[in-house]
Amino acid sequence: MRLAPDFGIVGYTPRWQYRPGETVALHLSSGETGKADIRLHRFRALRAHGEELELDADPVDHPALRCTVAPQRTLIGSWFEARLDAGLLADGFTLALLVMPTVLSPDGSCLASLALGGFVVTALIDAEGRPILMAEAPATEPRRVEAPFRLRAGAWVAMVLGRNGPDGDLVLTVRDDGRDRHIRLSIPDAVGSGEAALRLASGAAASALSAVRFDGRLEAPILWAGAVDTQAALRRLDAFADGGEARGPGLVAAWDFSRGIDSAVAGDVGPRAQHGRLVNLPTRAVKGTRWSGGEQSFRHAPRDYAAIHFHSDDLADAGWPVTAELALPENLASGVYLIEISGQAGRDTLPILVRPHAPGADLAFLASTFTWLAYANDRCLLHGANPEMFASRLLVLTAGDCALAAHPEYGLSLYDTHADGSGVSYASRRRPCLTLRHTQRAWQGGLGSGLWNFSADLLILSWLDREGFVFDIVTDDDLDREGAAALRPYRCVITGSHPEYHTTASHDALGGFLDGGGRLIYLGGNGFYWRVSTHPDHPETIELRRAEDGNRSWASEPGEYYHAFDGAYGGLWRRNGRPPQKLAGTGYTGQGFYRSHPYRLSAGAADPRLAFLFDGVAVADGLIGDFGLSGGGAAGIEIDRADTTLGTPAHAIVVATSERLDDSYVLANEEVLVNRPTVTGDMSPILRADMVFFETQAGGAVWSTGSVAWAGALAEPRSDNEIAQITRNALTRFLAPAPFALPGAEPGG
Amino acid sequence: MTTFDGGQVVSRDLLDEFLAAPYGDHGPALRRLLLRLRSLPAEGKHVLVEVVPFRQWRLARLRGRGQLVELLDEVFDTLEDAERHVFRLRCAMLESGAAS
Repeated sequence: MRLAPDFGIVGYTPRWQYRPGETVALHLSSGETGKADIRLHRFRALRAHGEELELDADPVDHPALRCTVAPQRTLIGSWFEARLDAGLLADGFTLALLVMPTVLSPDGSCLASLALGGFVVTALIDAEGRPILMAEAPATEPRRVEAPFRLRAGAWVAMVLGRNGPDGDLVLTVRDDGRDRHIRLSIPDAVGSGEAALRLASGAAASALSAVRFDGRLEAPILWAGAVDTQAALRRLDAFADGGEARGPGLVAAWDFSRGIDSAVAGDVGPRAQHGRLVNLPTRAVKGTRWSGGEQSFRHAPRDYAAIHFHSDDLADAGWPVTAELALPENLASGVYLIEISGQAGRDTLPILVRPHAPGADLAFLASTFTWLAYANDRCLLHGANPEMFASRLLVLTAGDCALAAHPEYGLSLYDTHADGSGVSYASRRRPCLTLRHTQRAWQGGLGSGLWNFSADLLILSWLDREGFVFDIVTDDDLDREGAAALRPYRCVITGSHPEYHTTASHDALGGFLDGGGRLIYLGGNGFYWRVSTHPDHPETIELRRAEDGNRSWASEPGEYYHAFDGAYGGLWRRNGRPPQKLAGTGYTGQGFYRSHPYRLSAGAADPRLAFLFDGVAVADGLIGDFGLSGGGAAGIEIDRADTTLGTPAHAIVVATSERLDDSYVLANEEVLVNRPTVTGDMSPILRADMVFFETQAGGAVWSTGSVAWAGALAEPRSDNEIAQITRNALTRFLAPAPFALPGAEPGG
Repeated sequence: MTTFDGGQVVSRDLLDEFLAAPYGDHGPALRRLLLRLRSLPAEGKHVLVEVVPFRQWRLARLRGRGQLVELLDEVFDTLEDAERHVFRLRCAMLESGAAS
């Protein structure tokens, strides 16, 4: 396919949506240093030719842009860092904290490091859990001592690391299950001066261990100047973890992780307010040593959530320098654009979305940027969750999948688990997101094209372009920031194939749009399913908790269902009083990632209220959509059903329903209270895709197809494509000024 | 006959049923066998790597978390042929006890 990335060059843009005239910062890396040319293309269409796909894109005029791309290093893994005055620690120091490793990394794990100028002390654990003390100083061999005892994954211990005076030994004490054990290391007399840096969960910047991280939880770090008696330090640590006063003789800093949980700052309650910085967003709002089960939210019991979970594979910001800046022309029309970066080292093609300065159409395409981000760098096919069973066929790795396998440092998706088995709750755009490419195909896309999420949504944009429907792009992020105002200029909003993830604000915006008389075409399935939140200081990042139920590739820990970013109760929107049926008339009911199927029109399809939908459509046998690029049918992949008990309006018409799903389809587990053998294929009456239409009180309307595979049928290049005809009819009516009337009411009344 | 608890021999009938139509409508016995085979652990599992999108695929094996994929020698011009090859491999693994 044209402009296909080979990932010899890899890049990212810090955000995905821009306005004309804005500058796009390109963060690029390559296997070898070399020149590259940067060209902007306007996406027009993905077109099917036989079994293959071709890209239709127009070059955009802009000044020539050439750059040098060099290899970049990505520092993966999260850590805590605080800057201190080394002079305070010249006469020794004592550091106490609570520690729980969650996995013992084969490469070792770093608990804490203290750099005093060029002098560094580090507390590690090895692959078997044995604590190690290490001291490094300029022009001397590192010294180390290894403990004869071990820490265990999943068990909290208290630790005290101290140096008694400027020429004292380094002593590490571990209290595990009430028993104290020590190791001691003689270290050089020399002490550093100037700035000191304390890191937790990482080696020091100046150390040979700078890239060694930690998988596990830390709580209540407290640092004193000079030597503090070990038993006294353990008592004061215990009191601090209980919520007691940390201040006292010799206190340098005490970082209370229960404060500012919605931030990337670890607040110091000591006399100098030397707050710590959390790099790469370790997970907050997690249970600490004091959690009793009495409360479930950190807002109700902050002390119970005074721990931070660090992962060796957290990544909030790859931190690559800006390689080039692309100034977008002022006259750029709204749409999807592809930034091609090609040179000797290879090629990458980064999509961006351009939103107009002022609305230029009656139709807005809502780009599912939160869903694309949730799936960014989905590695489930490379390890873990056995998706071949869901796919019902061999897994096929694309160039992007192979690049992900070669680059674990690009980080994980919200579908993956961390190295310690815990779920990935945070996803950031400030890193290469290799699944966001026009070429991306995945097992979830079913037999056929395999297009999925962003690339499947391109099929809808391709069709709009072919049909000549003028549209503006609006993104989930725009709805999150601006609310319903972002949609107010538009008469109709059309979604992508899979608008699964929404924040409270983006969900509110859609509801507000409908309340104001807007018309919604939900051209997908599994929409409005999971709740996510954006970070107040990192808007390019979303948080997810896979709470309670729903189809989950991992499950949040009990007691950790509330988002750190905003305190919201995470999980399914259905568990938050907003089943998708309330908004869109249909809601998720099951999935199968192999074949798709046709719909059979229901008796309701003949209702005069739907006359517009079937105008000129010939349906001989009652079946529609027995074809498509996504599994060979219009109904499939992830599917929704109507259900008045979950909020489908009573006056809604079920227009059509999927015809006999095959056994690769499985009922959503939130529908299964007692496990039963009738959850597959056509065994369950609630496992089906429903197409639904209803009018709203405010004169608007909603048409939902209830199927991810709809986009694939829409794009099937055939002259008698009734799926395209029906979609065209719906869109034409939804863009017409005449208001919709509730059944039994006068038009406009 | 096919069993899953020891002597795991795949019958000629099931083999023929799959080889005739890897993407066909399979009977219950073959569906159960395929679920079992497709549920093998990710590490060491056979996958395909695209050589030419939509046209050519190469056999490969997953090597575990954070590891490069191990590329094998076999190359296929249709996905059905790849399915047949891997099905034979996995049936042989079942019979030899390498997959259980």
